[in-house]
Amino acid sequence: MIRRSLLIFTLLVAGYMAFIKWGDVDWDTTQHQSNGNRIKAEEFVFGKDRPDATVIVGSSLSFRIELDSFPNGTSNLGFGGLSIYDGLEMIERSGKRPARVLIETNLLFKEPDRAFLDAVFAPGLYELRRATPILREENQPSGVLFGWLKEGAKNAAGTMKGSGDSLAVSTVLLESNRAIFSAVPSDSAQQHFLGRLKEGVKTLEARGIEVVFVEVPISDELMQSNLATRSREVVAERFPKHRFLRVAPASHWLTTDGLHLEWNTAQRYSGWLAGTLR
Amino acid sequence: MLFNSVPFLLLVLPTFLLYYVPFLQRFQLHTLVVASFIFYAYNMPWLLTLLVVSLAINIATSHAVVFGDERHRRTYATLGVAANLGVLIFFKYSPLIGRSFFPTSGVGEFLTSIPLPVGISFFTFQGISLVVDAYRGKEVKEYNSIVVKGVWEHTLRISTFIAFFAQLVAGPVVKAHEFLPQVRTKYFKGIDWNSTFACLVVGYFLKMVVADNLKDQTFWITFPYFRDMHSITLITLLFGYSMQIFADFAGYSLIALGLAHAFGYVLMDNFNFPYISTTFSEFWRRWHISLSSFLREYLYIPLGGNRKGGFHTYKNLMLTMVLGGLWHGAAWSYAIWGLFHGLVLAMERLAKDLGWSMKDKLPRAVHMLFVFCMVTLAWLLFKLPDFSHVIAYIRAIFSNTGVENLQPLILFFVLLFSIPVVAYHLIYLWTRTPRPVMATIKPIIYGIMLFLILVNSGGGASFIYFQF
Repeated sequence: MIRRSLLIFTLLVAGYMAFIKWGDVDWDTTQHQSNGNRIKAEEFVFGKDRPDATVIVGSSLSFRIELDSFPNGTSNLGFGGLSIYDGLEMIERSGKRPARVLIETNLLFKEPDRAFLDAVFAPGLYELRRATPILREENQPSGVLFGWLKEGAKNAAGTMKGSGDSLAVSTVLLESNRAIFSAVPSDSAQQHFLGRLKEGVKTLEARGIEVVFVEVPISDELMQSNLATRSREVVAERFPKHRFLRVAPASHWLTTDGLHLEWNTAQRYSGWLAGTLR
Repeated sequence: MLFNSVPFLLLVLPTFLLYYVPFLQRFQLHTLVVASFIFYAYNMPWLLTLLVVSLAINIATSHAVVFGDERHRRTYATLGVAANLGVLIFFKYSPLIGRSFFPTSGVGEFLTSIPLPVGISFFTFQGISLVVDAYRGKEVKEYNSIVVKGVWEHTLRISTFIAFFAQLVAGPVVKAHEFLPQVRTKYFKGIDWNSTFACLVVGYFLKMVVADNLKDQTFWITFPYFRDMHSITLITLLFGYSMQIFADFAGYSLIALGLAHAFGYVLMDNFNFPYISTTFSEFWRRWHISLSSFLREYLYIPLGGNRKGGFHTYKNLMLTMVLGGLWHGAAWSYAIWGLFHGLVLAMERLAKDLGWSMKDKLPRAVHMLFVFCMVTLAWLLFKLPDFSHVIAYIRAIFSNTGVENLQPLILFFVLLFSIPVVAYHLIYLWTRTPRPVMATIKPIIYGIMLFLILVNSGGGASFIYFQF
């Protein structure tokens, strides 16, 4: 039984390798948030190093920035549920040297996720995944199956990618975000994170990378919150010579929960950001 | 250290090789004990101190029970059980006691700061089993060989029994009279490769492909995220969590069994297709069998079991299940979970005593579905330790029928990754009458599982039962 099982296993691996190599699988295979984070991370670390590239680092707020309006080679390391420090560490550990890094300033006071970074850079597995694409997160058969079905359904319905979120704001999440944004971390916690940020910026600039700060629009109400105000202040104080891209608070930045831009609004903001950077 | 981590692989492979080197055979127990200590100390070395202290207590008391002064046997056994329970209560229940009874005082602060050492519920229970079995050795002939006279040999045997890495941190809860008689020199040619392979492949598949992928979907059973979701999504998520908890724990147990097989030991099957149960008592004969049989043997029967009939039986059932619930975690929600199971077991028993059995009146599938639904509903108490959130979840199931948030992606993946668990149970039902075709199908199924372990594993996560 063992020998026959191993034979079937080998045949499946060979067949799937061929399918991934020649099967033209280019649809979205994301299964859930952390899987989406891994896919983005692996696309970045295993992708070609482009010296003219722009990389966005951020949280789930930047996650919604669409790259269609940006030049080819732009990467979005805005990870749902994670922090800017995950993206910064990823750039450093991957050894990549893009031309410019955009750092989201909305959620500066959040620790990186060690487990996530360790999973991406796990010794042995990292090298294996680099050499064998079927081991990468984006090629998981369940995601490929879902992507294929979704693509088929989309073609059948003739709809465009991303038909939009519900415009109803989640009051439950809005409440919870209000609570989060009303509090400012202690001075020592702020110093800890700002020290880390300063170090990250210094490392990037030492490698000749331009650093630009970006405040992603959120709801008017949360824009005026204690946390948002303090975050803006510390960036202006600590990094006075850096470009800091902000949009004026206005009611047309629609969000789904006070924090995350609704789909069409995210598209609009992405266009504005790409245009401003040009 | 997780069974599905690279460090574990780097530990277990050299251990396996050393273990079977012919001229080192007399050091087999030493090898297992050292590897188990490394395994346990890997993430938090200080924990080893606790394990060693626990081992010392059990080694000393079990030896004294058998070879000490005849007049004090009972005292030694009582001391051994009390010491194990003391360690368990101190480390596991201090935070609960602190939160519940001393919420604002310094004592409460101290109690809540006590960390929970991984695996403590398992190795203290095995310690109790050792001391009790050693005590019973005078009456039960088969238990005679549990404790040997030589102190060093006894130390090695007991250390292997309690600390063996295959079952140290999340079971199965191995009983002394089942494990210790198996301690002898093991030979490479004696390995049952087919069983080892089958247990490891199914175990890793259930854990890495099914449970780890489901956990990223069932994450949404978190307050307050679930409050906005459609009823169908909420029911699907709950169903998925039921599949996940089975895949996680049954997967872990199968890996433990497979590893034990590789080292020449046979551990008790911990799961026997529990979701086909048609009664709650059958469920408990099929779910976490090592714990339920432990509770039956060392708690329910000593409490009197069903010997005094009627009220006493129901009381003993409820008490056993509440304590069993609290064994899972130091939170009142676990006690409520145990109480729920105690209640349904007692009601089932009462119905049987009164001759109200519905067994022949409804199809088997209806009984199965009913037990599954009730068990699944009770898992909410595991996922949401705050009881008010459990109520909010159940309320949302009934009230959110009209909300727009259906989340097709979650529905798709929960159902997709639940298929293997459903198929696992259905294949078992189907093969209860011999099916020769299975000989051809099995290697294909194992090949597919191996392939999916390689290319479709979910994000690594601790085993749910590690927290217990």
